[in-house]
Amino acid sequence: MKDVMETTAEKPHASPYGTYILVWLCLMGLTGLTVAVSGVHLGNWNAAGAVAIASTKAAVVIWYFMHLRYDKSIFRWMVLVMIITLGIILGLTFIDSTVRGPF
Amino acid sequence: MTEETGKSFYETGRPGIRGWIFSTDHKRIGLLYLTSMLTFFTVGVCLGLTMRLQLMFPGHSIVPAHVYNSLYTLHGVIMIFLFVIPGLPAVFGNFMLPLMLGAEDVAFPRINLLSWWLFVTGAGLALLTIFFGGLPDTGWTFYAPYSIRSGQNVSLAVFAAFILGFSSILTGLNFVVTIHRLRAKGMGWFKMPLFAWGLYATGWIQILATPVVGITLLLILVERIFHIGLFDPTIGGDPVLYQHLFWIYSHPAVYIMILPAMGAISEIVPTFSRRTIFGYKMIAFSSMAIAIVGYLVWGHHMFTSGMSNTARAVFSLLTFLVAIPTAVKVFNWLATLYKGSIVLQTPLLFALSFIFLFSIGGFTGLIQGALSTDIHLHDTTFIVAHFHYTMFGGTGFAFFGALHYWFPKMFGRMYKEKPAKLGWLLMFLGFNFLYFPLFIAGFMGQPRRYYDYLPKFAVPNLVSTIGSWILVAGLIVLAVNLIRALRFGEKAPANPWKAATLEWETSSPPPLENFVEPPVVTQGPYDFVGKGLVKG
Repeated sequence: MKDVMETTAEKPHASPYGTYILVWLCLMGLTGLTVAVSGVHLGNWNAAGAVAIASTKAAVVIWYFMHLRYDKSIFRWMVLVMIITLGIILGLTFIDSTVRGPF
Repeated sequence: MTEETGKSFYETGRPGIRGWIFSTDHKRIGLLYLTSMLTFFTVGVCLGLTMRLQLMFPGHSIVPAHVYNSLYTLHGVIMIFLFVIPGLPAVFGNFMLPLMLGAEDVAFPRINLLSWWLFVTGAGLALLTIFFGGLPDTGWTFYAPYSIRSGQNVSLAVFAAFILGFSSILTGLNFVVTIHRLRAKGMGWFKMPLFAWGLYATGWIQILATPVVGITLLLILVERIFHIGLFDPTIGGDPVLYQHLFWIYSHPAVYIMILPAMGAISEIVPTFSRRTIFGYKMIAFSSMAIAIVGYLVWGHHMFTSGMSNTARAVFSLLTFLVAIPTAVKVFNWLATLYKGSIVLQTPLLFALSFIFLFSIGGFTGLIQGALSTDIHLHDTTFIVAHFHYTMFGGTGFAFFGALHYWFPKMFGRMYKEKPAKLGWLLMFLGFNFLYFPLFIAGFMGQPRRYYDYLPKFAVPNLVSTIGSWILVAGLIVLAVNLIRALRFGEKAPANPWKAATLEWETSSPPPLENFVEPPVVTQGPYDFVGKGLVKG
């Protein structure tokens, strides 16, 4: 355990400030897009759009701010498992709510 | 690595109660879980007995209707959240996993202690509802909109369940990391005991599914306090969405409950039939397959809730898939027994009854997985019988089987076989008398969770109540026998069952850091060559 922590700490993986600012601007832009899209009536696609934008934001945060980009592949695989799980949860829930008829 | 080497973990560490409640030793934490969970189990059994007494005859007998509502809610909350979900992982996982892997402890011992503290905090908060605001009366599922509108103290109960969820997540995380990082030299993934595989699959479910119910329960709190329309349709919410979110966790939670139980059975069956387990890899992979497919089937709890027809068809199809890896395990256990040198000791009796009872539970689950029959059976006592056959007949019997299997290792004492077998027999008979009549009553149309019933259901209910007394008699015999063994039992040798997994290589009970020297694995976990025979 100790070895892993030491090697992780020693790794020089911090991005330049410019990258972080770019990511921050990107997140702000996507937040603006979420607000803008919510004002347009797209039916069920409103939810799909909001989820897509939020997922993109989360991915950017995990990739840069949480340093997944610089980590070992096992961590990427573990995050992928969680993303797939979330995808399944959302997908199967929407199978119900998007085609539910009147009771 | 024999009995002569050093002191046991009981004789080392801080003395007194603080040596237990602040200990980071995985064995002590396992025993803390064991004592707290058995206490809650006893309370849950008493509540169940009271319910059965009320239902012994039609009409009012011992408790009023509103108390009955709280009784079944509390019985469910205690049994599910405080006994069956932590069940085998928290007790035997904590105690045995590092021993089975040849490690000194779990990967994060302090987090392990924290998870026990969260467990008792959550349990304490749940019990506080007795004194503040009234016991919840929603059922353990906290279904909206009733859970939003109920005047009882649902808020505290859901917050308690939220805390308990964290305990579960931390335990799962600890086990996954321990299995990845702390296996003994020479122990590849396919030389791991199958109990560890069961815990690995369980750990992933705990990590991935539990946060969903945590957030959902918080949303109930938010809606109760701030009246934001999330689940209550009168203020714009969607009650079916609550059921989705609840079962997204709570169906995988069924596999949190059953996968470690299956792992324990996979240890007991080969040991007492003196044969290498049949289809090791298939059993290991089927644990992972159950964990994965278990995520896809939650909607089968909601066939009559107003879910779309498309979703109902999809969930029904997926439900049938989960039976396949389960059947793989059952066939492999039976194939292991075939032509084995079977010794019918108490742990094997529990394991065999697990296979029998869990199969009944599984098959009756398929009846409900079919859309048409579920319409008839939903919310009847058929469902009550089905899940008690899986959860008690499955996990419960596996828990007692595991307790008898690992008891010599945990406490360094042997229990008496005859009373243990008598206790098992009473439990097995009582269990079937208690729950099988509920299949019949449910099929005839008796609704579940009702305080009263029509006279035509009188006979199955009377038999069921008598069964509950036989079952409790069995539990008492088992408890007295084990408690007696703690004090007067013969001293246990390091490996009384001549098993081949690593936990039996160290003394009973083990020393503080488990092994005098780190073990090196050179043979499989079910290689009994040279181990000798178990005394019958």
